[in-house]
Amino acid sequence: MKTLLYYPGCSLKRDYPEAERAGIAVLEALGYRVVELRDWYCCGGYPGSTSLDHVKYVSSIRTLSKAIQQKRETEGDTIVTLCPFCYNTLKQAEKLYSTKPDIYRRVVEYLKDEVEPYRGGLRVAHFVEVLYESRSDLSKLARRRLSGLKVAVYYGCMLLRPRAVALDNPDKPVLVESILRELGAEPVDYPLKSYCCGSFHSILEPSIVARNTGKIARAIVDSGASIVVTPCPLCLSNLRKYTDLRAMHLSELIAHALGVLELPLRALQG
Amino acid sequence: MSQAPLRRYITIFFNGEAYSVPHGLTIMKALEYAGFRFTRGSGCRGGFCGACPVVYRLPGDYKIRVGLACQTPVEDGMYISLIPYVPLVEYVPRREELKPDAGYVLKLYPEISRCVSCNACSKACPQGLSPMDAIQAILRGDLRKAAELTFDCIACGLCSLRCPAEIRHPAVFRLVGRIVGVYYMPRSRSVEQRVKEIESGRFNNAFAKLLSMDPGSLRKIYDEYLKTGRLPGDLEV
Repeated sequence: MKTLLYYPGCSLKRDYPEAERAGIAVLEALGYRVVELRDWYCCGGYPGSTSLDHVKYVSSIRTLSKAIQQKRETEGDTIVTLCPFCYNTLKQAEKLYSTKPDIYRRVVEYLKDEVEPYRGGLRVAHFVEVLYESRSDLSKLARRRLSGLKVAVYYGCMLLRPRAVALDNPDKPVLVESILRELGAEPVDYPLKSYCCGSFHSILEPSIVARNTGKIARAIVDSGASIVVTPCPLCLSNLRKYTDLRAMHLSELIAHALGVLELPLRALQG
Repeated sequence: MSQAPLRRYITIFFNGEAYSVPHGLTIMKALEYAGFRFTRGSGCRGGFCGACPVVYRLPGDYKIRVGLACQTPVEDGMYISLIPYVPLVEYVPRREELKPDAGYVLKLYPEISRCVSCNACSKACPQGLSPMDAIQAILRGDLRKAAELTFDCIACGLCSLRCPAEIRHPAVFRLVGRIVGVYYMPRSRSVEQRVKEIESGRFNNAFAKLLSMDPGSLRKIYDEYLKTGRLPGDLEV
């Protein structure tokens, strides 16, 4: 059984425990052993929105260094996370030694008396990647087909930008749609799948979030979808707060289809 | 034949001046030996009250070190600065206002979201705690973990001084400790029971008697109690 080192991230851990439970249940149903990292810290996504260029890598590199120790015990060489922000930050930190060697050296030098320097050896993956790799198993495992369910996939930014860590074409992503098709759903096409929801502006400039989510919501309603799924807890929070869309985390819909978790999914009955 | 004294003297630097002090003393004792008198920044002298945080450097080492003046032995060439007081403006909400929610902690102390996990706080903790892990636990909503990690905090404030995000760790931890105490810890039945007994007036007579006694008679009762473990009949309840 393949082991996945699981990195939860603050947002999901604090605000969406149901999405976390669903995600873990799905991974276990697919045959993975999911082990939460013993020591993990804020990925840096939050301080990363500030301009402190070096410091924002400190916590990610520390997390990777500590994960390497755990890798030796558990044989898991992949860190998986349900949050696109965490994915993005950890993935960039994982590549730091080759992309920005000067910053890498300084961060490692700073962390030297705490942890051994991270020198590669881990793969950082988002939940979506793992699902995509196991998509043929998904249709076999599905206990409730999502037949005829018109679902809009809202990607947000962090899985698709910048190019170096993008999982799919940022202008026309199809990754999640192909996963949902395996479960019988009918993903709809609409133009703003990766248009920014407004992100952390929800704190200081909520009007930006209201405007952006409004545009996204109109596009989704026009597409004829009955629900929207997103892989991102921040997008989910903004969509729920500023629109009337029936939105859920991707992990919840998949868990529902696999029948591994009973969730109060009003959206699917309505 | 007279014996040579075994005492070895070393040099320490305090406020920029050199002082020759005996080897083997704590920083606090060494400074007192040098003629200083502690009117602030000294408390239990047992390493637990947190009143005497100290920062110092050793010759030939860039590292800034921390400790408690009453616990840290002096070393030759030590550069010492005492931190008798750290300004921690603290919120002390009433018990009923406390909420078991990280969002509530963030509302009172929004600066904790500026934690970049540099870990300078943990390196500065003379108790060997991990304030950074506790702050990170709060950010992910795990108040119980944060309270558990900081139970031994003595509120010396060194972490707060070293923090680039200007977090008031001891104040935050005290708030979290109270929240966890109110919402997560089992209630102490024996305390409730005793409060009821006090309110019912069970101890009123005995207390009235004690309060009316002169110090001599109190002393006698006390000594008798230490010897026999018993109180005079009319004080038993």
